[in-house]
Amino acid sequence: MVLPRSLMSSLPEAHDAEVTPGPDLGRAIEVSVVVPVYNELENLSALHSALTYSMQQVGRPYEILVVDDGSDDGSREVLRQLSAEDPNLRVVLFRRNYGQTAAMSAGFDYARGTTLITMDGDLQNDPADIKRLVEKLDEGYDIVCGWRRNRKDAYATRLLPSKIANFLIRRTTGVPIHDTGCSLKAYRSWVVRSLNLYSDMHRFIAALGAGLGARIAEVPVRHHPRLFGESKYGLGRIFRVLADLVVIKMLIQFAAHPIRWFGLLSMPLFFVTPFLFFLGLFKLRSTGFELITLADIVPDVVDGSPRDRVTWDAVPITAAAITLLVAINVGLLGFLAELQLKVSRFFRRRIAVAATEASR
Amino acid sequence: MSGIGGFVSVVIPLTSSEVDVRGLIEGYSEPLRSGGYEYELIFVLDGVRGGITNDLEAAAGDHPIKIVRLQGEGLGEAIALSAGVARARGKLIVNAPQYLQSDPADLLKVVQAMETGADFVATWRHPRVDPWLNRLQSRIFNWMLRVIMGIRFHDLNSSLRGMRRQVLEEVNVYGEMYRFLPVLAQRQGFRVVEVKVRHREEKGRRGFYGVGVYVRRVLDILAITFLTRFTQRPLRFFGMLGFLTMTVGVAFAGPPLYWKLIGEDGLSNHPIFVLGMILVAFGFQLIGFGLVGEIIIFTQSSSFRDYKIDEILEGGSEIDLVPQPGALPTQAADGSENGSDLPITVRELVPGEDARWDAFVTAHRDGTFFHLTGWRRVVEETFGHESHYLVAEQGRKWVGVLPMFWFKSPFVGNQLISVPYGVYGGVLAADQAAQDELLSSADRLGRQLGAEYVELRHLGERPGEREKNVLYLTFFRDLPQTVDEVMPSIKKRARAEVRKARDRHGLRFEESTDIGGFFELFARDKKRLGSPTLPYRWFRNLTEEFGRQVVIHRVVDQEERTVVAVMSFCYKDRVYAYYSGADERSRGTGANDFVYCKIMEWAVKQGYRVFDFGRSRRDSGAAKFKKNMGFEPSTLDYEYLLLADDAKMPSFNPSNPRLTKPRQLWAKLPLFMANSLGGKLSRYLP
Repeated sequence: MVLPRSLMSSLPEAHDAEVTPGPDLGRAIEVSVVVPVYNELENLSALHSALTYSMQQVGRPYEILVVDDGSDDGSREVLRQLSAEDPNLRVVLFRRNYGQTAAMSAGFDYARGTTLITMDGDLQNDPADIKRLVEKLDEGYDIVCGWRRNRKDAYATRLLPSKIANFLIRRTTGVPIHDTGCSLKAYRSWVVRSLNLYSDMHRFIAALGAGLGARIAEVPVRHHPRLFGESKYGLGRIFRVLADLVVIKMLIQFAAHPIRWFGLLSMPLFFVTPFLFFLGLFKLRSTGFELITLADIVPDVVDGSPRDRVTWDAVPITAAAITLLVAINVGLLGFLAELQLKVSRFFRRRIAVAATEASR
Repeated sequence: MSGIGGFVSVVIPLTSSEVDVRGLIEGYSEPLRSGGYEYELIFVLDGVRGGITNDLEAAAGDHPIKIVRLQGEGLGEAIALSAGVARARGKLIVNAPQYLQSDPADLLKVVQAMETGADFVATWRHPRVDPWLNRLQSRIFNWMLRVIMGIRFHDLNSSLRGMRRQVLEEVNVYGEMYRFLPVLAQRQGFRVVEVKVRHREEKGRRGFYGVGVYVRRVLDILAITFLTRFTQRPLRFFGMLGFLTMTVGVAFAGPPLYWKLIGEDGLSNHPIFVLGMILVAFGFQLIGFGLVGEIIIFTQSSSFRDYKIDEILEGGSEIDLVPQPGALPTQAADGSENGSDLPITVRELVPGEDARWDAFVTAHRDGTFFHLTGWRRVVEETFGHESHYLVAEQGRKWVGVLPMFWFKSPFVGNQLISVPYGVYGGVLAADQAAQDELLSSADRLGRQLGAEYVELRHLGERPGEREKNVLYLTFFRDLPQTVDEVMPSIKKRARAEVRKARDRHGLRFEESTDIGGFFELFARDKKRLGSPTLPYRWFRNLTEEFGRQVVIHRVVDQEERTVVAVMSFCYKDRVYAYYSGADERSRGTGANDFVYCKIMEWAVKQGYRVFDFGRSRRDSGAAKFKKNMGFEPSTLDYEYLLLADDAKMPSFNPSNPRLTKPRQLWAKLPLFMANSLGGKLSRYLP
């Protein structure tokens, strides 16, 4: 999608730092703040005014894109009212509750800015930090993550699991982010446009983005305890996080060739096979181990009577056959994965997005 | 849709012809009428033979009924329900059984429950009056559900159910899953309620259910648990399972291995070692399966946009975001308020704006089916042409759109076309300023791409002067108010043909979902005319993209062979009868006149106002045929922006005498060759 520069008159020009209050209809939106909310009635108007204030501090044409994930506590009416009065506030109302990832991906679908900010609707993030994120992005990064250095959460139920998870995520993905769970993040739009979010994938945008070649930075942000409402997470996600991590690792490292990932998975089995086979070559006798010889294997037909000879330890040989079989099977699953990737339009789309960005 | 009472579509799958249709129609109509609802009864015939259609029509009287005949038989309730809902007009759907098992008056209860906010209404026949064995089986079944899956429904076998249309749009039902619709709906977050209905002795139904029925259902339960819980993240499930298997495996195999290594005992004395190793290996395999699943989900994730939007509130509602067209030039009166003094800028449509684009097209007077972003997706998917969808913005307000495809072909050269494969296209703008801005952007873009010209398939006048091509006429007219007025509105000769088709040749008209059957006729027809056909893929993609907006109608003769098939597009108040194919056998039977007359009647019945017969070349046979059907031609002057200095108006069209020979040749090709070649060629023929 090559477009002459003359046509792209709506793309951001060099921006001045002056504060533009009120509706700013003349210029195209640069910054979209995506806020998924679900039953945040008490927080909404505080959130809106805090965001409006800090976006004016940022001083660029912006929009606040609230995605209401099917609230039934009257949030919708409040949003309706707020957006009627504020041309910078767009609201996407879901038909019902679809969960945070869906809300996030709707936010990305409908955002118009070239810079996207995500944050929670519960005011635990401080909108004033957006300015720092945007400035960091300007230094040439594609993703800037918030890092809640002083988290105001219960230690055992939230902080500790989060620390363990973050440690694991850092180790496996190699992306040096301390606080994956922090929703306050800034992205260039191409990063999220290249990704399709599903299930809990929004937690890993940074890691997946790194797989796409995005440059990533981290900025410490403030964190407030919840003002109203109750927290919507719980404990007991560690296994799920682990499973997700394996997937993320596969996606960022081996997305182009999943067969290698499966090769890696089948490796242990491949190594076990000769070891088991080797075990089978030893027969245990009262005197200790004894390696079988060819003469032991070939049946003695000369005198017809059984002689005291060493034979295979049959069980490990059987096991070796099984592990070899399964190792090959697992490797072949990688072939299936490869096929799936080939028939999907995944790479075509990714290339298209990258090319669009390159042309800008 | 009227506000009071609301509109209810009752879908009744029929699997047997020995049904008291009169009783059904009366039984289901009565409560709805008395409740003051508008309604329709949709009968879905699933493998029913014989004259049941006639029975239904005879029994219908003044009750509004629709009949849908499924192709094939024994397709099951899930498919029948989906097919019925596809034809339904209402947002409230009631799925009702073909036997009156519950008091028809309870239908009203179901509808009312939906009106008070439920998305899905399950019913509970209580107390039951079945044979005891059925009751026992049913009770065991429901008890198992409660215990195993924590499902709180009392009577999943009751087939009287109410649902909002959106439930079926989001919940994927197939096979026997149909029973579990309430469960699936609830899992997806819909509000599901259960109402008690009075059970009646089922008329026309005797005997017991076999035990096998329930065995199958138990399997279905397992499948459902699996699918609803683990399809999104397969590795979470398979990984856990694999991990457990490996742990057990290690526990079995570990000790014997240890004994062997320290020289205590040979492994052959502990065959459990084999079992352990099998489990370990199996664990690896399970994890592998999970990973393959993850790859599939990851690569396909763009196809589950798994949310539905109620509404988008654009900020500052005083700002008119989709301008009402027709008011030329700009409404200066409130100019300052909606930013009309701002400059108009043009840019490309960015991902995520498709819905807004479509809303703009729908609101614009000249917006056609071919302007929709769905057309873009289908053309890109099928042929891979590069598209440039331009948006003109004034401030944040959209003032115009122009969809274009970059078309490079050895036949028509290098050009921008708005839009290929569609008969209409071009600029949609709120005023001339926006239009000019879009056209000059198109001009610049075209030069950039080295195009010779920009083809704008304008239907209706656009301000300004441009080169025109006077090759085509287009035919459309307002439909009459009622079905009975359709026949008189066509010319006498065509009317005679219609009668001939119906009375003498006994042709029958019906809706169909058989793309393959349609394509066969279409392709053969095209070949006969010496033109390459569009590929089958094109039609499949169209139906997949547009769903209910694409309809196939066909005419079958007395031997149940399809003789004419027409694919139409429905958009706004218009039905576009767009692609057609006729069997050679249909010649002289009046099948062509018959099918279009019937489609018009169908369109009237569905509430459409305009029938669009599409374009034809001046003085062609098709143009004559359309005039005979009572259509007056309107000029369809495609407009051109000539870009290259020596650019000439394109002259590549079937009437070009240079093409006569190749066309004759083409007609002689064997069909399979023409089809496969044509499908590839059509990429280069806009």
